[in-house]
Amino acid sequence: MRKMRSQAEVELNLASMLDMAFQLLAFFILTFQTPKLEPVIIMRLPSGAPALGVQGTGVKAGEDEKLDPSKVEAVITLTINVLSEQGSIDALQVGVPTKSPMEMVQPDSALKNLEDRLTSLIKSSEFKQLIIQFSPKLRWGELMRVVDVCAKQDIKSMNFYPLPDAPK
Amino acid sequence: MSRSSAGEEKCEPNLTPMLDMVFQLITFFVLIFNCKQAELASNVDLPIVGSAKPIAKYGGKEIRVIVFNFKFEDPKEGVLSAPKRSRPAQLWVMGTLVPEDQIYGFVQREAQSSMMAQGLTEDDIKNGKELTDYIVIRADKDIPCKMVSNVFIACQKYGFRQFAFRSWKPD
Repeated sequence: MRKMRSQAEVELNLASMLDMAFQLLAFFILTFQTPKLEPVIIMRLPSGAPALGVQGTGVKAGEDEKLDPSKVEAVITLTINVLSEQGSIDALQVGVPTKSPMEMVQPDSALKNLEDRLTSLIKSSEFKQLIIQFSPKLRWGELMRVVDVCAKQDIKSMNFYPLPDAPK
Repeated sequence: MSRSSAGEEKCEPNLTPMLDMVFQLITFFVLIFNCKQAELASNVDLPIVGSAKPIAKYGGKEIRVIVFNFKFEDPKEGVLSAPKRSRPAQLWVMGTLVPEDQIYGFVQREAQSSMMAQGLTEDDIKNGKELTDYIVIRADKDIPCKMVSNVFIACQKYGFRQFAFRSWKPD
């Protein structure tokens, strides 16, 4: 008995499709980048309120030129001045200016002195805002070390202001 | 299995399973392909900070995140690479270089699109309302702070209050 082929058989050549699939695969493998989950410090930077007693070396934090200074209620402010000539931290001044004069803190390699001083200030003082004033030449990594110390004290809100350039 | 007229047997491998596996691999890589890597500039030497914590999401699902990348200009090809700190510092946002004199304009435009999305007006911002978006700062540790603080001041002026400072944790 002769078998008649009622339908023509169609053979699909998969080799070409496989080649194209390998091309796509090679593209995605070469463009693959391991996702980096970079740690963060979350901080709230509200509008600075006029600060009591911040004067002298710093810009008067929170000052608004349009407001009449005599009608603005200033708030108690914990201030950290980060001084720098070459980019790294040369000196730190910490304090609540209305309570006592700003205290010079000698920075050690781990900013341990600053951490101890901040801990005692936070426990003993009531302040409404924290302001960090920094020399313009200070590097970002150095400022982040100070922010790190503040974050460890559970401070979630602060403000940054640049100090004017030191007169030559 | 086909047979030639000379009686030799030809062996044709079945490519279907191989094609299936390749499609599986392609599907895997397509699903993990991350377009958001374009937001992150390369060659940013982040500062090392101990209290930083990795978080997968900023706030809720609807929170918009704007990433500001501060890095030094890439060394020019064919030129002996100058030290990093001697090259000019740059601000990159979404793969675009933002000149220093255009920071305020850029932040203002971003703030306006955020205000539209959140149904706020400029008067609302002046009256104390805040934008819920997060400003992510990815800055090289040697970048001068003054450049970063210009962005802080601009963002605060237009209503942004939530900031995230990216860093590395010490080993």
